[in-house]
Amino acid sequence: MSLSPSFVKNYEIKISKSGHKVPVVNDVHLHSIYDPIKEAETFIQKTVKENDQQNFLVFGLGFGYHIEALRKALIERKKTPHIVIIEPNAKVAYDCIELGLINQDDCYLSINQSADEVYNNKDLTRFLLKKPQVITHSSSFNLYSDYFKTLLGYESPTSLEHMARQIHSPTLKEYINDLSLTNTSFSDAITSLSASRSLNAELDFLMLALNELTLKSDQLTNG
Amino acid sequence: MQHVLIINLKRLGDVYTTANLVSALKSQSPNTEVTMLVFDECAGAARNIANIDHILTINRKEIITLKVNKIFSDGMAVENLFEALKPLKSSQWDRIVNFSNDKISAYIASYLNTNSNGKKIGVNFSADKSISYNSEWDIVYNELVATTENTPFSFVDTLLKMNGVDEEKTKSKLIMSRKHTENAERNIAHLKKKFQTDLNTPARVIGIQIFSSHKAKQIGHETLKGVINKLISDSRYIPLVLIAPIESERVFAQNLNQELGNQLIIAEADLSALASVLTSIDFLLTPDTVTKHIADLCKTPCLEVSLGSAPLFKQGSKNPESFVLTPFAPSRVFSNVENNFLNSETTDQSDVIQVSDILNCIEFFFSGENTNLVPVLSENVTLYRPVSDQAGVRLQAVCGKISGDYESVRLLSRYLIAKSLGTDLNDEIIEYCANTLVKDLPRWMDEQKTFVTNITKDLLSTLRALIQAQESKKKVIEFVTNLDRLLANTDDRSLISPFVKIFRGKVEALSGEGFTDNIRELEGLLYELKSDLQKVLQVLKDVETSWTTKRKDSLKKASTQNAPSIMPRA
Repeated sequence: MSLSPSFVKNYEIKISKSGHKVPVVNDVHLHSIYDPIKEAETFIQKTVKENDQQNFLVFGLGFGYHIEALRKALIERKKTPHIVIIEPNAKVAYDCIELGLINQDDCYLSINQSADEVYNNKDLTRFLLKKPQVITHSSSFNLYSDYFKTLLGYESPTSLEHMARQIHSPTLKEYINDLSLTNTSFSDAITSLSASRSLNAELDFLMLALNELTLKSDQLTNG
Repeated sequence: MQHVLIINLKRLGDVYTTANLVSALKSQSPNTEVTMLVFDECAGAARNIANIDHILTINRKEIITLKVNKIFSDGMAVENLFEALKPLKSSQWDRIVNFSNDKISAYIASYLNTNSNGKKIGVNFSADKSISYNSEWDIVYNELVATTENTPFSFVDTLLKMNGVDEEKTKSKLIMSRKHTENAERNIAHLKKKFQTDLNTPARVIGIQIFSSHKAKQIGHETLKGVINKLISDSRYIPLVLIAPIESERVFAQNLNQELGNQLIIAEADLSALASVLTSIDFLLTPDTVTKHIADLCKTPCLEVSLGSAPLFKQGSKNPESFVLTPFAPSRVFSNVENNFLNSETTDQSDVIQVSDILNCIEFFFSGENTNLVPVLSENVTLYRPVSDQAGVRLQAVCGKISGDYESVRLLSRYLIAKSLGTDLNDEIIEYCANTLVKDLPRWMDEQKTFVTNITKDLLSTLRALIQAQESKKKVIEFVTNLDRLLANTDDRSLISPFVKIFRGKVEALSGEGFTDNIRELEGLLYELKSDLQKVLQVLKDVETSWTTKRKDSLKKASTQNAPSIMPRA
């Protein structure tokens, strides 16, 4: 579910006491109207842990002051920032970019993508596998709470048809599509393959290997 | 050029043991290109193995996260594994070795292709899901070594046999950086110079692996402290604690150091440097860890303290200078065993091994070969050492508590199976079992003959039922019942049990076109088993003959000594 266009009742850009631009959506100020830079620096100081982490997933862009504060903090710690920002409000996001308020060199911006689009993005998935620290920009999170709750509560459909759609390899896609003719899900397919007297395709062994790998996931340790 | 793929999806220590096979393959056929498939986290270990040309990895953690976490489509996990194996899938291998012998490796081996003359070594499946074996040694590996605690062969030796190669004993099996080796040699030399008190007696550096990732395998804490304390106060030895550059091990070492009054010398070495450190020290004390495996490959003598579920006889050392100290083996519970010898419950046995046991073994090692003394050990402790024979290396009990029955079954099974698969072992095993190991041979013989008699009955019933089943399909159920009863004869106290397990493996691998074909094959296997029974009886006879001959000789000698002396003529 993406953010509905009718969600935004009003939107304006105000100038803070410190002279910085602050987006106001549905009468909610997304940053401090006094000094958004200082607010962002304080927020990042409290939020970002003192460890080797350089991967961050941020919920909410606003006008990016907290993103720039994060970048600065990481560079000071001699870390290379890798930041992914999830922002449901396209207008605010494009304004932020046009105003030059965010450096996109080390950021990836997901703008108003549905949960399905977010979690089925290969690059984003690769990023999520690195277990980034999650930072919630509370003004954005509270304003777009339904959107973010849907995102956080998302479960990927288990059907083989959906599985096939996520796959890029034509060989594998065709195989999964064939499997979907007689099975509904991965576990269903494994049950059939395990019960059948013979296997029809070499890829059947791949599926069985994957299943076995998952079953033993808690057993393998170094030693 | 031969293209060989070795699939090893096990832990670090097991990845290191691949080095034995790799060096053997290269030695037999230098024009062999070896590729190894491991999990990501073991790539570092694989890189330290000499003669591996390519290493490919599966990111196990990533695939499992993709599969288990509900936010990700299962398709991602499937595609991740598909992509990881793609470079291997596009090759037509001359040989694929399922080294790790688990289902994952077996399915992957089944998924990949060999060329028309190629072969797959180790368990893999045909399209009809029947198990496919390349040789009888494959069956020994899967049905006997993997499932028997008192196994007659180690994994490494069995894999060498499966691949038809001999161990390469001369060349280095590990890659060691010159820089690390020079550093290690310099540091150890410095230690010796610093701590040596007697110029005539060189101080020996004893590496001590204090940490095991499995708590049950770890040397008891008080025992460890006691040993280190004694070594510190003995001017002949310099204890050197070995740890990996991991926070948990650093903390463990620091705490131990505090308990020991900050007297410890601690060496931190990652996998790439550890071999260099181990080649520079004089001896290693270790539980069953990756360090033990590396020391073995470096030919550094070590005393392994085998505890917990450490697979004592499956992963034994190949170095004849090393030892293994263990609680009495029949009382241990090993993992993945089909038939525990004494049906003992799992207990923490780390307190069984005492400080004096370890120190006496160290003393024994450094006393050299010329002594006839053996170390004095606590009750319920046994010391083993590796002994070479034509089938590889076997662990032989040196001293301590020894069960003659337990050891004889293991060694005689080794003798019998090796012989039946074309490797003749020296008859010394028979003599050793008859005259040293088994304390009450007549009782033991009776027990073994009873096993043979029972199995013979079941075998003949099965044969009879099989013939009847061929004549009438109504008799098939009776045949299956008899076959089940026969296959249940896997008591590990019995010399025939290994043959029954091998027979079972062959039955499971039957691949006849239909009922008639399978029955015909099965009949052949039953007659083979009957022949194996005869071999067992023959060996029992040889053991009895050896024992009887020795007794006669002893009596003769005794009566000659007691005979009245001849008085000189007056």
